[in-house]
This record gives sequence, C-alpha cells and structure tokens, in this order.
Amino acid sequence: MMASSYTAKEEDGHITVSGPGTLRSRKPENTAFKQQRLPAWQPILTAGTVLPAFFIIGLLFIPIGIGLFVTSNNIKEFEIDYTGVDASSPCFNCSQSFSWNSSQPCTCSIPFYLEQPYESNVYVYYGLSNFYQNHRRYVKSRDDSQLNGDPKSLMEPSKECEPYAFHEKKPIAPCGAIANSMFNDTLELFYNDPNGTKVQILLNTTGIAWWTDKHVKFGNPGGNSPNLTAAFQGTTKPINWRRPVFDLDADEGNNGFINEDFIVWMRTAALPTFRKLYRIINKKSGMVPTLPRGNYSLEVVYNYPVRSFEGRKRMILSTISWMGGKNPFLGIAYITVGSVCFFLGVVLLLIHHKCGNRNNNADISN
Amino acid sequence: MAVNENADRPKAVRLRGKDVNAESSLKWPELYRSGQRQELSSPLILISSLLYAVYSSLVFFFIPFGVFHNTAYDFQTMAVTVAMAATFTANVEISLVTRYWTRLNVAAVCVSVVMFFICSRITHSTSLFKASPGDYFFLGASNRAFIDPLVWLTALLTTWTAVLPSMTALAINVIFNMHDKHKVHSASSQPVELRSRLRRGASLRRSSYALSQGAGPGRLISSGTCIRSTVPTVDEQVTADNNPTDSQLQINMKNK
Repeated sequence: MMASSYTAKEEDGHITVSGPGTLRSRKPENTAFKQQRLPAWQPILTAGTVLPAFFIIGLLFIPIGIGLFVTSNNIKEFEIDYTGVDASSPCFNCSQSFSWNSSQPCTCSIPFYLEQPYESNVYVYYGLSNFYQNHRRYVKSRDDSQLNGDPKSLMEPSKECEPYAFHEKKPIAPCGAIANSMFNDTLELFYNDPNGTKVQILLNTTGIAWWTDKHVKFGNPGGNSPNLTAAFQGTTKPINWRRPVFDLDADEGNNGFINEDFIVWMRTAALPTFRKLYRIINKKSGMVPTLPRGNYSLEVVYNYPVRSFEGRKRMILSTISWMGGKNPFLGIAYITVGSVCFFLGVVLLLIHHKCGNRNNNADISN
Repeated sequence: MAVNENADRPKAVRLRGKDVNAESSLKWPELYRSGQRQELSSPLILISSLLYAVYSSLVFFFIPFGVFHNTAYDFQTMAVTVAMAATFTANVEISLVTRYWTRLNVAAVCVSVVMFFICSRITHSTSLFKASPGDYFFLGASNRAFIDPLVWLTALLTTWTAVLPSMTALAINVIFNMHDKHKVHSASSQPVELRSRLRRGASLRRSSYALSQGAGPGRLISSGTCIRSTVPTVDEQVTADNNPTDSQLQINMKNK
C-alpha cells in the first residue's frame, strides 16, 4: 500500500555569470522543498483499499447507534403540557384571562400519574415551543458588561438593548429583550400519599446554572455587598417583570444578576422547541426511589403568556445518563447512516465486480 | 464560528499538488488534456459542486437540529458542535484530494485540527471575556462542549454524512480508473530523448510546445529569426552542431 517516491534529480544547472552586470539566476534554490524532492508517501488507491472503508464505518456506526438507542430508551421521562389550550384543561381559564396588571396571580393544578419510580437525581425542566430564542436580534439584545457588574454599564446600557434600555428616563437593569421576556411561571410538585396526605416535593433551586456563568460571567454591581437595593439605585425593573431584579430571591447568593433562574434563561436556546432546567430533585439516601409510583399534582402559578404566538408550555421530569436526556434521534441517525454506508459499500462492490473485471479483461486482450 | 481552512482550500490544494517534470509531461500527455478540454471548469463540474455545497449545508444544520431539538442544550453548544463538524469535514475533504503526503501535508492537517481546539479555548476563555465582554461572550461554551460525548458523537456523524458523496465519488473513480493507476506507478522516470529533426537552438520554426521548454520567444523575436529566411546560415548551423545541449543562453555567449 505504501510507495514512497524519491525523485532525486542530479541536474544542478543554474547560470551564474560574474562580471560587471551580475546575472542573478531566476531558478529557485536547489533545496528539497523548492525543487519538490521531499520524501512523500503516495497511497495506492485501489478498490481493495477504498471499499473496506465503507464496510468498516458501516459496521462501526450500527452498534454505536444501537447502544445509543438502548441507552436513550432506559432514560425515564415524563412530560405535561399545561398551556391550557383545550377547554377541558385545568389551566384553560388562566390562559384566557391574562393581563399584565393583574395583582392576583392565576393558579391551576394538574394531576398526573407516574407509572415507574424514578431513581437517582430527577431533573425538572420547563419547555417552550415556538419560542425563537435563537432569533438574531433577540440574541444580541443584552449587555454583558452590565450583567458582569460593571457600574458604568449599569447606568448606561449598550445600544444593543434598545428599545428595552431605558424606561421613564431610567436605565433598565437588566436591559434587553432576553431579560424582559424571562420565564416567570412557578411550578410546584406534590405527591399524593396513598393514605391521603399531600406531600410537597423538595425542589433544589441551586446548581442549575453553569459554574462559569454564575461565578465569572454574571456578577452583581458593587461586588459582594449584601445591600443589593442600594447597588441598583437609580435603575428600574424590566417592563414585563413583576418584581425588580434585587427581589428575585430571599437568598443572598441567588439574588440580583446571579439568580440562577435568570442565568439559565439568559443562556439562549438553540432551537424554537427547547427546555431549560428549572429545579433538581436530589436523590434520597438509602434504597428509596426519588419519585415513587403514584399520583402527583403539578401546581402552576400561571404568569407567562404564550397563546399570543401559538406557543406551548410544558413541564418535564427526567433522569439523565452519560448522554444527557432522552435522545432517540442520535441512535436512529447512527443506525441509518451506518446502514446506508454499508449498503453503498455493497453496491460499489457489485459495480467493481461487474465493471472492474471488464476493464482488466480489456487490458489483457490489448 | 471561525473555520479558516475552508477559505484556504484552493490554495491548500495547489500547495499540495506536485509539479511534473518535462520528461513525464512528454510521456503522459493525458495529464494536461483536462486543461485543454477545460474539463475542470465545465458546467457539469460547477453544478455538481453547487449541489454538493447545498447538500453539505443541509447536513450541517439538520443533523444537529435533530439531535438538539427539544433538549436543554443551548445556542453556543450547538454552534461549537457545528464548527467542529465543519472543521473535521474540511480536513477530511483535503485529505481525500491530497496524493503526495509529505511531512508538511501531515503537519498541516494535524495543526489545522489542533488549532481549531486551541483557538476555541482561547476565544472562550475568562481573560478575553474580562477584556471585552461584548465580543467574547462564548465564555464557558467549549469547556462543557469538548467533554460532552453527545457533542462529539453529533460532530462525527455530521462529518461522515457530509463527506459521504466525496468518498463515493473517490471509490467510483478508483473502480473505473484502476488500470491507469497501475501504469502510472509501475513506470519509472527515465530521461526521454526528443526525437526530432529540429536541433535545439536551430532557428527553424519551432512548435509552441518546444518554445515553452526553451528560454522564451524573446531572442527569436529580437533577432528577427522568424522574419528572415528559414534556411539556416552557416554560422548558426555550425554552432548548433557543436552544442547540442539546452540553454540557448550558452549558445548566445559562445556566439559573442
């Protein structure tokens, strides 16, 4: 398969005429690089070397695809759409009667049943559909200096945030369309014990954002001073928010710009149908499953309007594995590409036997 | 998403090609037949290149779209995945075209891939973010993406799917042209004698091919050789007989 070609030419003729007018040679220098005499490996490509590549890749991809598909099937996931589109849905009234100025938040409760117990950590996501967080103008509508805690940017948000930079002559903190459209529904889970009591499931609010986001990218103005109200003096809350940014959470480490729900929302999603991590249900000690089989109910404080753009809201409960959440597409794609590759290899082999032989025979007869 | 290899691809292909010397050119005239017939810029080649570009664009988007649909992965992770797939695809395409693998070629491919990872880490780093938060806002994206198995699997699948038509074309080429390849490799490059009545340096009319091997038509034009009669003068004939080697300049010197 290997044929190294050494073409070492001996000719060395370049003209050098010494005299009053020195003629400089225009030939390139006689180095191996410039005379293209470098030792090279020249792969001999025959059908015997190229066709096996198709079969090898095909035989490699199909087991990988099967492994991915099986792993994905073992991940448990449960999804509820609580937009309230149907009149029979519990959240129908909340979806119809939306107004920005309502002081009384609308709540609805959806019962559901888990068939399988969920072990280990369970991740609670909220999912949105038809919400284009990847729209270019939307993605650019933020001020990363302001979110990093720069005091100058706090008072003078960048032009990218327009028209969500100033409101009633005061700078908006945090500015921009991404912050303005932050998801503000509250989801709570309750387990209906077999003996009738309703147990609230403990949801962990920290550890949901990226470490680099929380500790490097986002920072409150004024450093780590506990008085956030003073740090945000002179700014106003975004137009669509109910509470200002320094009131997002009672916990100091989760308040202001470093609020983890806010950070998760600011990390824009890739596609119009996406999900974002909302809470984590930590696994219980011992052999008790985190979420046993049985009846549950989801209590929603319905704040976020999606009916106007035909969007949908969902709550998803999921376990995760080494490949993230449930993803049957990757397994199926690997199996498909592997089989197509293998099939292509077979077809090329047939062509080679039929037409390649004809060429060889023609050679011999000549 | 900076993929610099794609922009340099035509240059890279030229750098990796190898010149053919005079003897080989004479022996295998089919090597420059494709230029004479303008085979490399025919409408068929252009349309097939365009179709291949459309196909690979669709692959680069829709396979990551299918993987990241309805998942918790963000915009920047998907960007890193597509950039990885594009880099790998560009390098594989160049590897398929390269015929002479010198150490420089191997180094170029390796450095290209390694530089992609290094540059991604640099532009996603904390120090650059602190210097200019508005420009380097991909902070932390490659930290998580490069250790995520899903990102790597998606990138490899996308790469192989995008390269599949080129591989198929290469395989078909090899199947149908295998007998030519054997001939090329088995022949050794020996000096070929130019069998012709015309001696070099003679002032008779010369073919355009022969002109291209000499020092150029400048001397012929300035000496008025083409205008004068085609019968060689005594001086020139004697000189041509005495010096049947190349390089007209040497003959010029001797004449002076």
